[in-house]
Amino acid sequence: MTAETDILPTRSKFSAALPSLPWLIMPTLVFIVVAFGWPLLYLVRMSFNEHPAGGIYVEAWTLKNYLVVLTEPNMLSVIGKTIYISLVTAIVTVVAAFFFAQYVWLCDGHNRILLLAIAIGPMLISEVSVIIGWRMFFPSNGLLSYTLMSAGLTDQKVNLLGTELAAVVGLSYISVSYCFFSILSVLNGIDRNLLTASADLGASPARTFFTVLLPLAKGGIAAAFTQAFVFTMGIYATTNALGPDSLWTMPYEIQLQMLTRRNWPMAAAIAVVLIAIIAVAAMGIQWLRHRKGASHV
Amino acid sequence: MFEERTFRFLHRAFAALFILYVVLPLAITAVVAFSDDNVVRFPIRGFSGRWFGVFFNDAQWINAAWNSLQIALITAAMSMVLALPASYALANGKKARPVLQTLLILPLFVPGVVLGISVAMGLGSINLFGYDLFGSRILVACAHTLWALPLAITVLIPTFETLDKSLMEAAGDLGASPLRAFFNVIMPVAMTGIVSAGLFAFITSLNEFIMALFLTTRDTQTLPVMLWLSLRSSATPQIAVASFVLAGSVFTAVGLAYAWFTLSRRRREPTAF
Repeated sequence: MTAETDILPTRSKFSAALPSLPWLIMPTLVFIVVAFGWPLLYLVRMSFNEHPAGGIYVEAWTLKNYLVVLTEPNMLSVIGKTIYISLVTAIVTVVAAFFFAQYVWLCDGHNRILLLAIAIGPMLISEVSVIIGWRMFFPSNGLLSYTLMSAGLTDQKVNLLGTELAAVVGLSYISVSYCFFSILSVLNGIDRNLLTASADLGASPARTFFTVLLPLAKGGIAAAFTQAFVFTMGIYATTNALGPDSLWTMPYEIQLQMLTRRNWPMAAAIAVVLIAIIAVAAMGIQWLRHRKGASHV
Repeated sequence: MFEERTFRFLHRAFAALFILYVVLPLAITAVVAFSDDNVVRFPIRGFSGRWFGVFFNDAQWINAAWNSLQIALITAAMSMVLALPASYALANGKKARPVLQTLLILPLFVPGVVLGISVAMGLGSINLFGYDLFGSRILVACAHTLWALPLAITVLIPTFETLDKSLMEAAGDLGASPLRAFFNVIMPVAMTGIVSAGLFAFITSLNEFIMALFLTTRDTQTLPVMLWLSLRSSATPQIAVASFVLAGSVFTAVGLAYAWFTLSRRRREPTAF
C-alpha cells in the first residue's frame, strides 16, 4: 500500500496509463492477423494456383479455378443448391424463432426463465450431437416411424432420413437460438400496449399482427434472417448427414476437394466464392439495419 | 389481439411443438444411450449401462475425449488472455472502436470449413523448433479461438461498459497501479461476465468439429470429430453414449458456472448490496 502522500504522482501515473490503452488491444490484433488474416490471404493466393495430376498444387497465377467454379454447370448447380437450402432454412428458422420469441415476450413470471433456458439449448449442443439425435428420429427404425406405426397412422415403416425435410429440420436447429435472441431483443423494445390499442380500435388479430407487430419487429427479423442464412451457407455436416445425396452444397464440395481430391487450389477458389456470397448477404444485413434505425425505436 | 382464445390456443400449441423440437434430439440420445440393444431401434428392448462400459473402456474414445478437454481448456485460456485486455480497451476507448470491434467479430461469420482449410493451408506447414504445428492441439485451439474470441469479446465489452468508471479512478487515486487496480478492483466486480465469457469459449471449442476435422491427426482427434467420422460406420448405441458424454460435459460446465453464480451472489448479498 502506498502512503496517502503519494496521491498526486500516482494519479498522474494512472492517467498516463490511459493513452496506452491501444497497447491492450495489440496482442489480440496480432493474433487475428496471424491466425485469421494471414491464412485468409494465403487461401486467396492458393485459389490462383494450379493443380497438377497426382500432386496438390504448383504455384501459378491462373483464373482457371474461378472459371470452373463460376461456369461449369455442376458447380453452378452446387452454388444454386447451397443458396436454395440456406434460404429455405432461413425462412423456416425465422418463422419458428419469431413465434416462439413472441410467445416468450407475452409470457410473464417464472415460466419465462424456463422458456429462455429451452431457447438457449440448441446453442449449447454440438452440431454432431444434433445430427446423431435426428438420425435416430427420422430413419425407418427410428422414433418417428415407431410413433406413427403405434398410433396406427401408417402400417408401413416411414423413412424420412435423406430428405430435404430432415435436412431443414437439422439445419434450422443450429441457428434457431441466435435468431430467437435477435428477435426477442427487438420485441422487448416494443410497447405491448400498442397491440392492445390496435385491438381496442377494432383491428382483427391478423391485422394487428401484420400492420402493427411485424413492421415494428422488422429490424430483428431481418437480422435473424441474415444470421440464419449466413450460418447455413457454411454448414455441410448436417446437410450431408440428414439430407438427400443430391443435396450437394459448396462447403461439402470444399471438403471433398481438400480432403479427398487433394485439389487445394480448387477448394480455395470455392471457399473464396462462398465467402463472397456470405459477404454480400452480410452487407444486406448492414443495409437493413440502417433502415431499421430509421423506422424503429 | 392476444385475448383471442383461438389465437392463444394456437400459439400455445406452437410453443409446445417448439419445445418438443428443441428437446427431442437430446432426449432420444439420452434414452438410446441407456439401451441394452445391439442396434439403435425402437421400441427400446431394455435398459442397461453396458454401452457406457464399452465407451469408457475404449482407449480411442477416451483419448479423443481428453484431446477435446485439453483443446477446450487451451482455447478458453487463450481467448480470455486476449479478450480481457482488448475488451477493456474497447469499452474505455472511443477512437476507431467500431472498426476494431467489427474486425475482431468478423471470424465468427466465416464458415468453419473455410477457417479450417485456411488455417490448414496457411499455418499447417509451419515447423516450430522441430515441432510440427499441423495436428498439434495448439493449432486446433488457435482455430477455435477465432470463434471463441469474438464471443468472449461480445460478452465482455458490455460487462466493462456498465462498470462504474470512478472505481478505477478511486483505485488509482489510492495508489494502485493500473494492473493492480484491474486485478483487485475490476476483476471481482466483473467476475460474472468474465466467467460467462470463459464458459462460452470453452463450450464453443468443445462442440466444434469442422475446423478440427481439417487440423487434427488420428492422435489429436477430438470427441466430436471422432463422432462425425464414426457416424455412418457405427449402428450401435455406443455412438449415442459418446454424443451423450459430449452434451453431458457441456451441461456439466454450464451447471458448475451456474452453481458458482448462485454461491457468489449469496455470499455477496448480505454485505455489498
